[in-house]
Amino acid sequence: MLTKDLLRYRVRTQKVYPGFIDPQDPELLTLAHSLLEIFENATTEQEVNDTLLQAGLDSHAIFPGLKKLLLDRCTPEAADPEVETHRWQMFAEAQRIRQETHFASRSAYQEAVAQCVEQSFDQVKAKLYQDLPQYRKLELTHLPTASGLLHRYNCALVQGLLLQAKQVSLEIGPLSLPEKRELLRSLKFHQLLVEFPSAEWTETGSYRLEISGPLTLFENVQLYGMKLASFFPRVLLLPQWKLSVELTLKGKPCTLEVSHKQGMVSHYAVRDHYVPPELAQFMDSMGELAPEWQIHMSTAFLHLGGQSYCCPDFTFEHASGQKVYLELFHRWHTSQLLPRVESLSHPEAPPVILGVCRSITRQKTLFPQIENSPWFQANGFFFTAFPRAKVVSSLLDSIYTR
Amino acid sequence: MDTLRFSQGTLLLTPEPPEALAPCFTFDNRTKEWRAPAYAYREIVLLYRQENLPLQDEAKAYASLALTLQRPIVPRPHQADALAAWQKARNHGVVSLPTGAGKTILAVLAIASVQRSTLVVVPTLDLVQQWRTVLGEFFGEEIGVLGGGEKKIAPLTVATYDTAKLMIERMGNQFGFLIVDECHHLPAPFYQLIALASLAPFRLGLSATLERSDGGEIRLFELMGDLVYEAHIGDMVNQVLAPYEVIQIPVSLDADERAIYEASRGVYLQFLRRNGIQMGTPEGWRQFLFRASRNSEGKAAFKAYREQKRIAQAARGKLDEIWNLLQLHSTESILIFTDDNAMAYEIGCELFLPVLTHKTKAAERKRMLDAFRSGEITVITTSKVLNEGVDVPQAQVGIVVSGSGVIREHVQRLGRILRHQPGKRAVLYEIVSHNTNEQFVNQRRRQHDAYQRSSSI
Repeated sequence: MLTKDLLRYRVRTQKVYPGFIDPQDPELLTLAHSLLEIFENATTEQEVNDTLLQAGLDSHAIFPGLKKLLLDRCTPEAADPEVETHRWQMFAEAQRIRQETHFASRSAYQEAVAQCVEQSFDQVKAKLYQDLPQYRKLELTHLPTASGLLHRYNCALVQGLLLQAKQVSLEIGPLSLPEKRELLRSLKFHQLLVEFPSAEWTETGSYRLEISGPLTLFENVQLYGMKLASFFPRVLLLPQWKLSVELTLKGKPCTLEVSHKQGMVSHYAVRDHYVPPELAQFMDSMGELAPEWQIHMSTAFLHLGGQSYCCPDFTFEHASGQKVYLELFHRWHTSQLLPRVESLSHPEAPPVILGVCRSITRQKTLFPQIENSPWFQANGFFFTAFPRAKVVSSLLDSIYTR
Repeated sequence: MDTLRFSQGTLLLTPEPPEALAPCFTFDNRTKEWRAPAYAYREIVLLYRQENLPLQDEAKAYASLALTLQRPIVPRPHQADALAAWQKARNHGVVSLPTGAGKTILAVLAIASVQRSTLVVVPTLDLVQQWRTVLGEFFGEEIGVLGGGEKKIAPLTVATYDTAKLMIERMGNQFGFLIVDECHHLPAPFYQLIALASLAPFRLGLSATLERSDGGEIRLFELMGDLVYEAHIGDMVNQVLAPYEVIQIPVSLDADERAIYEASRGVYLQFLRRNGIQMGTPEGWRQFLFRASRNSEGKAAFKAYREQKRIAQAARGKLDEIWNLLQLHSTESILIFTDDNAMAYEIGCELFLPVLTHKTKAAERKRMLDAFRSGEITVITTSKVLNEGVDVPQAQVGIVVSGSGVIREHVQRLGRILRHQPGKRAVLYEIVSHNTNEQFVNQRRRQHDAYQRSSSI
């Protein structure tokens, strides 16, 4: 991320304009290439700095920002313990000599100390703090491409400004179910809260989400900037979006607006939404066993109140028009299972059948709570690898006749 | 019955607040719950008690402790007065005492009196280690540490501001007593979260230098309680603090340094004049940065500004003066302060001295401070990490090689050498490049009363 001093932006009539760069600009691509080459070939940070100075690359305004982004990808290797041992020997010798003898000059003292270890002053001096991070070998991890670095710079400009954010609104275009899930999962991961637009979040609608943290309700201060900044690259993965930010820069309130139109590219990976073949098999079996129910992969977003939501896996639609949803819980997200059972137990909750992977039997506290829940006994079931159509079909019948 | 829960630095009440408590809560449309900031916990619980209303308190997760002091403490009069004033304010408030007046001991007495799980928040890793040692010695308990790669919560825990800020939303209900050391940092936008998201009903803020240039101390009192006790350096010299004197040593620039200094300063001042920028005004620095970033002339002016500052701060003659002072005080314990790491390491390399900066590994920092306290080493060179809090009573001589114009920084640096020891007389030297801008910076930072006069002895 870029520190405050590396952010480039202009403020006009209380609007902030980040100094975005064109990642296709040949001149900038050449600069990025040269920088990457220097990082790949240099062994230490000091060497990087020396080479950059010689190459005269530091004249470009965005150079310090690009350098910081690359340094963030580097870690100095572990320090050599010998250097510290040698240093403390030198401290002891130097102190003894300083206290025992009065020297006519600083250089006489320097020579006297160096002679103790039979080296020249310059040799001792060079070795004394040789284990500082800038002198240690750099270990590079996943350096971006030249174009990736320039895209990352644009993203980092917005992230740096988001650190000062007080209020953030995100307008989003139509989203598929996996995209919605990803977005909501990411918000939850960053412990951010949103005000949901409505109980029904259809696949075609556009929405405006107010994103903040719990304390934003009381304190108009920038408490959640770091979380918002970390969340931002996830926004870049959305097909259509617009972010409106209220922030304070140099003590003055202003607004920042960015959107997909700026063409920013995320460095976060797009998750693979793998659909296993068992799903198709399950749908076929359901069609045979319960022909009165039409089954399809669900695109529904069910708001269960508060920050609780449900993105079911299947929607069953009866000939009469009644809809019932099926959500499957696997072992990797059981932490949400108990709150989900509580939410769905509410009389006004939508009709959802809950399938729970049998592996939770190993969870000694959670398993009895789920198994003994009256709601789960009437609306849930356990499955081993994949739900059995017969079990689901009988639950659908039971819900329909209620 | 109403139920109060802790959630991410806030309090949630179900089903809804009774009329008397309605002003404390806000309905959160995002989660459809009644919410209050965690720091309102004390007020809320007291109101429930006052109104005689039943409350199921699931928010607090801190324990009452049965701590006993491993060795008795006889507080000095000012410590006893400060503790009494804080207790009178219902264990809530800020105490301002000069460095060396025993703020840590005051905190130990407060913890012993409150007997609740306690979180101590401090600005640096060195202070984390110092507090860990003191609390461990006095209470005979294992102390939790958050920061510097350690992540262990215990009934008595010490954390850096930076780690506490990241973790407080999750652990804000685990401590009934919040102590914020060097609490003048707390009003910074990111650090406020520590006090806002903690429900600790008992709070103690400690500082030697409360004044903030942005007036943030008002916010500090909102978050930690009012200023309940204050004492100044002048009130405590001889009885509590060592007598001291401040000596300024002017240093002349070498001819080549003077030439570059004058040329650079000329470019810089000419740019200011051409653009009508007055650096003496509050907007001056901001205007300079803005104008300097706009064209090549501005960039050259900025480069010139940095060059003249560098030459004044790192004049060659300063190294000779440091060397003279090391010879003059060859057996005394000396702290050398610089404005930046580069100068600290240059001094360290030229004179074979230990250098302690934020780049020093935690284990070596501890080793360095322990060695300094035991007398194994008599000099430490540092940039800013030892400015605050660190207890080195042996330090008798301070040498300020360079620094900012911030008064607080210099009062804190003076404080490092003022810890009282029998027969100790402290000296603070300020080495200033003669006839340079550093003289003005020096004058600005000497505005504190501790600098207006040396102690009367």
